[in-house]
Amino acid sequence: MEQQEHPYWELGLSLFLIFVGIAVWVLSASFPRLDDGTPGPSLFPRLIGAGMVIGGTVLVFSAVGDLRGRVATLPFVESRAGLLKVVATVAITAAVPFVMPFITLVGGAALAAVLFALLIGTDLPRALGVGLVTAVMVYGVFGRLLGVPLT
Amino acid sequence: MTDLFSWQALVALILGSLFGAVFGAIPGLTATLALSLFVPLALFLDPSLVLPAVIGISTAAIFAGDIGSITVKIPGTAASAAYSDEINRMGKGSMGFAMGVATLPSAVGAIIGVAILMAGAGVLAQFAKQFSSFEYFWLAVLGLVAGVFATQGKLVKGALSLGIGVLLSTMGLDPTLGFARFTFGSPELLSGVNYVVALIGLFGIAELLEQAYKGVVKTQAVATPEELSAQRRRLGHDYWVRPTRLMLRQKGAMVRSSLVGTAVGFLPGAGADLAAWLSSSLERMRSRKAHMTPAERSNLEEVVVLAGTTSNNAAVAGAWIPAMALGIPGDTLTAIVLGVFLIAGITPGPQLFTQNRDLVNQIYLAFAVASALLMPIMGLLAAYGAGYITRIPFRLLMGFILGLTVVGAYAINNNPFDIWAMLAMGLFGFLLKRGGFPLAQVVLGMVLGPLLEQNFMVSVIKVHWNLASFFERPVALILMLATLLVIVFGVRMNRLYRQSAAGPAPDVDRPVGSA
Repeated sequence: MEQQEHPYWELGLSLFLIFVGIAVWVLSASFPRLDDGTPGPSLFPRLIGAGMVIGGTVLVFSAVGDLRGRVATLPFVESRAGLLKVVATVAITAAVPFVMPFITLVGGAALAAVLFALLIGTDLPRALGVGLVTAVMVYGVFGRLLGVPLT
Repeated sequence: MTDLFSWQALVALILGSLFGAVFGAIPGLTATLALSLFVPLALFLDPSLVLPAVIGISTAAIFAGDIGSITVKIPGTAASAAYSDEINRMGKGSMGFAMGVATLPSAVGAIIGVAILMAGAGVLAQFAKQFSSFEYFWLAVLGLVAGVFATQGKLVKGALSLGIGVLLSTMGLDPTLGFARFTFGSPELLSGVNYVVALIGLFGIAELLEQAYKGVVKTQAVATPEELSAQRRRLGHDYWVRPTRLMLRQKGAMVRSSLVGTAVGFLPGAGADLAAWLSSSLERMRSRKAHMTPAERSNLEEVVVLAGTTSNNAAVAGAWIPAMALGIPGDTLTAIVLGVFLIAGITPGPQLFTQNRDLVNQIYLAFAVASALLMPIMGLLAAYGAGYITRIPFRLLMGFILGLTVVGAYAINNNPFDIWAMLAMGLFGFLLKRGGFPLAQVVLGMVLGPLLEQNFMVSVIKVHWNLASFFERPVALILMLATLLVIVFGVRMNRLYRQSAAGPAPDVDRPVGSA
């Protein structure tokens, strides 16, 4: 049902969740208590933080067990090129708010669409076509039809 | 608000169904993605157009997941993956028959689900009128526990996903003292993580990152144009008559799967995919023989597909029961629907049935039309055009979708911060998917977290931390017992699932997306 797990991803994510759990616990320490001294805003975050540390630890052991004997043969990531594409996609999307003041939201969304299409292997003419369709759709549907401010 | 059954609403229902069908049919695009992309549009549309469109999308996308399985052996949604191999073999014999079995039992399952929705939601809403904070607390616990056990053999990951969702819901002002938690000085986070932005990120951006990482799915049609042409000549018989005969022959399986589907749909966090897996596995277990003749094997495959298609669409309607009556989503799709309800100014829960009775009836009607009328017509169209649907250039669509998600996130508050928030959620969702964590549970945690915390804090303040009070009210006690039952049943089901996963598995293609 879910994606096929890769032990390194599982291990990395489990360690990250343990870190988040500890961070939540530490940050919650400064939250105020109720007037009668009972726990208030810190109660739930602390419970969840503790749960994340416990659950994350269980998964770390499971992932380490999964990795045993396979470390030498298992690549650290399945696809380095894929990972670079992920980073590039994040960069493209994160850049949209920065370019919006110059080329508006329509331009920003179209540019992101073109760059992403190129990134996943579309040729330039088709990628430009995707950008054009995106721009027309965003301007027509969101801007004209629905009245979303696009600047 | 205009009538939900104006011609505009009917057009919205049809367009929503087509939109959902395309997303369901194309491997890699999912029903959830279709709905989350629709949410930004919903912000600016009349609720009388939004609701039929949402119903059209959710009913059509789940049924259309079978189109990918039949034509290119890649299930369009996780709900179709449960019987992908069987339906693909049926499609090789006759595309029309396979499409008929994908569609007509789906329609019947959906209609039975809608009938139960009509009967059950109102009763549940009446029952919920007696709820105080104690009952709502137990209800949230029940939802979370059911959400954990819905993860099929991944209980720790399911629980962690729920925890992440609940933790995300604690960002912003807390419900007890109004204290700002985990905002890191950002005024944008004072009101917490925007639910809709999170949904677009988790299901839209995460899917795009996944496609960028893995490489876009390439599809290859199983039937040649000549074979398709020959099959089209006997389409009427194969699409209408043979599946109808099968349904009449397998009435028991139909009813069983509809009931299982609706019940699973009702459970928070479960949804159509679990329903399909459960029903088709049940039929496999019921019919299992050590040695089967080719005819017996073919019959078994037909029943397995029938059970799966019936069940997954019954679950779509079943998931609306707790969503409408209690404001608790039955699956990811209804979690998004709840967001749409809020956008439309509709408060789900018991008062929906007293204050908006017309709307409730119109929702039932929209479901009935979408299931009984639109689904068979779309199935027939799909049977004619099956060879073409999956040839839609997927790479071009993905670029277009990134553009739309960016605009969608921005349009919610006209705030560029939301684009970054969506991206952060998307990246996190991608990492969770890579680690095998279910995303639906994150959403469930985000919905149930505030309900759980607020009602727990209200209750304990009311009774001065006398925790015994949580076990004193009869309805609260019933809900607690229901939680225990879910745990017992869930542990048993989890054991069965692990056993069946450890045994010889049928040759089923790995799904590329979730419902």
